[in-house]
Amino acid sequence: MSATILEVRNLKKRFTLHETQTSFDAFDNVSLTVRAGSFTGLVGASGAGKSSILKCIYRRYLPSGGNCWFHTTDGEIVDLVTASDQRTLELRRKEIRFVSQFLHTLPRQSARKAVAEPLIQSEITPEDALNQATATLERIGLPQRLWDLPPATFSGGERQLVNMARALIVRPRLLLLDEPTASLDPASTRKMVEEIARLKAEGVALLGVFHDPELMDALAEEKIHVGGGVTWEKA
Amino acid sequence: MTVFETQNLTRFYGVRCPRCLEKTGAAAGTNICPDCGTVVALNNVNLRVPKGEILGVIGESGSGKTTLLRYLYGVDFGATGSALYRNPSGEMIELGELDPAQRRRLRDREFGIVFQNPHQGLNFRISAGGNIAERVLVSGERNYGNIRERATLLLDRTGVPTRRMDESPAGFSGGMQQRVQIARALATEPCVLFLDEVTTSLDLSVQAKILDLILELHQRTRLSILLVTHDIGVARMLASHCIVMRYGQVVETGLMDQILEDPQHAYTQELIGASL
Ligand SMILES: Nc1ncnc2c1ncn2[C@@H]1O[C@H](COP(=O)(O)OP(=O)(O)OP(=O)(O)O)[C@@H](O)[C@H]1O
Ligand SMILES: Nc1ncnc2c1ncn2[C@@H]1O[C@H](COP(=O)(O)OP(=O)(O)OP(=O)(O)O)[C@@H](O)[C@H]1O
Ligand SMILES: [Mg+2]
Ligand SMILES: [Mg+2]
Ligand SMILES: [Zn+2]
Repeated sequence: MSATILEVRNLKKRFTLHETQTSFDAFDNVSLTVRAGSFTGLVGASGAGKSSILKCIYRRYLPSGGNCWFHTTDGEIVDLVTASDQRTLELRRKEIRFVSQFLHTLPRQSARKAVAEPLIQSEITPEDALNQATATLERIGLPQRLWDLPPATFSGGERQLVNMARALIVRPRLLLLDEPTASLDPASTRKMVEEIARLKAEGVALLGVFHDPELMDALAEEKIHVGGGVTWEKA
Repeated sequence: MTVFETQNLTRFYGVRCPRCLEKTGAAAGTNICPDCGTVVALNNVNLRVPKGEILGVIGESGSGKTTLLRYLYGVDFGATGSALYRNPSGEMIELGELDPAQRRRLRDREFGIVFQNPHQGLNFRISAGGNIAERVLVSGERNYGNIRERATLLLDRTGVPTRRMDESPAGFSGGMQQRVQIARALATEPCVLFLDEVTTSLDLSVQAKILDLILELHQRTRLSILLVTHDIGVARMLASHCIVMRYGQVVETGLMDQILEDPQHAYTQELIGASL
């Protein structure tokens, strides 16, 4: 069996909303393993907590309990639940990438610059970063006429390709996908699926959600069922 | 790695009584001691400023953002507690133990600052180029040609037309004045840049260009930046880390996107909710 990249153990997320004085669990007691070269799929009803799990692993949400053991390229094992902000940021820049349904880029930045940005944070020169961005956009299949325009002017599908390119440019070890094909037409979806198959072949570990059950069946080595009811209580 | 680490940093304005600290702060809902009227501008602030990153300091008016920045930059000496600064050679320096001349040397050699009000950061009686030259001189350069060359380069890099370098910044637009301030702040090649509401008084389109410039500078130089703003949009665009202040206290710290998407403290939830 291939190498373990991420082990999630008893992960939990509880939201407390002070204004309405409510607390509730988005999910509780989630355990799963993600291996190199394989795709672990999260399935469950709307609101079951799938996106929240991904966001907790990426620390866009603060987990409320449990562990996420990440095995780094250097052979270190880091608990993403307790890692410092700075360590989390370093891992996000180099090893763990997140592709959501939405692209967050700076308003006036070209697609090429947006894709190069994660690399500019590291040691290479801006010129090299832009060259690699070009190569990544080519690989992902964004039409060349769009490369120097800001993604804010793109269609949903084109934006999603930029989003994917931003994730891939750093050659991540773990890729988190939250419905990356939600706004894509059939042709772009096919391209995205091919890309994911290629990443698996390259040994990237993938964890994520596809709303299309057929896609999920085609891509996932393992499926994790999320759910069991959201419990509401007063804080 | 961090450039600054503070522990129980506290700044009083007033006579002080034994209960000032406990009677003020986020939970007390005020920064004015009800017993003696002292303003507790900073109340036991513990924070780390990450090296090479942009730390956004957000919070409402009067929460202590500028007071914090002024102490770390070294124009205010009245705080108690500890503030350690890691200099470029990696030594940790306790700011409270430095005398005013040493603080001044840090400001001149290792720090740069940009104020909201250009009058505070620029000398309007001399030319834009002169404003830069002043700082280049401070860093030890004495050759007129070199100084002028460096001023030209800095103005060019920050988007100020160099043909206007011999004019006073008094006649420049607000956005251009901020660019001259930024050029001036960069003149000594600082390793920490302090920015206090630098885009607050600018039109939105001008504001956007200044933010682009700051981001571009940061990407190229990897300066550590302390960015004080009450505009969450500005922090969202520039900062990777964030601290939230209220009534002189830090109520929350975290990665910028985490603070925006999953704020923990009641006040942060209110603040983020109001900005959506
Ligand atoms: N930032 C947040 N603040 C408060 N509650 C949240 C937040 N994010 C998610 N939730 C709540 O947590 C629960 C799980 O949401 P989540 O988005 O993880 O579900 P999901 O399984 O991804 O659903 P979908 O299939 O519709 O995308 C929901 O009740 C949601 O309202
Ligand atoms: N020299 C002073 N004397 C007395 N009180 C002062 C002095 N300087 C600041 N304060 C008080 O300290 C508190 C913090 O002020 P500070 O300027 O740090 O706030 P701020 O967060 O920067 O606010 P703003 O967003 O309005 O700039 C305020 O209540 C202010 O009135
Ligand atoms: Mg979801
Ligand atoms: Mg202020
Ligand atoms: Zn008092």
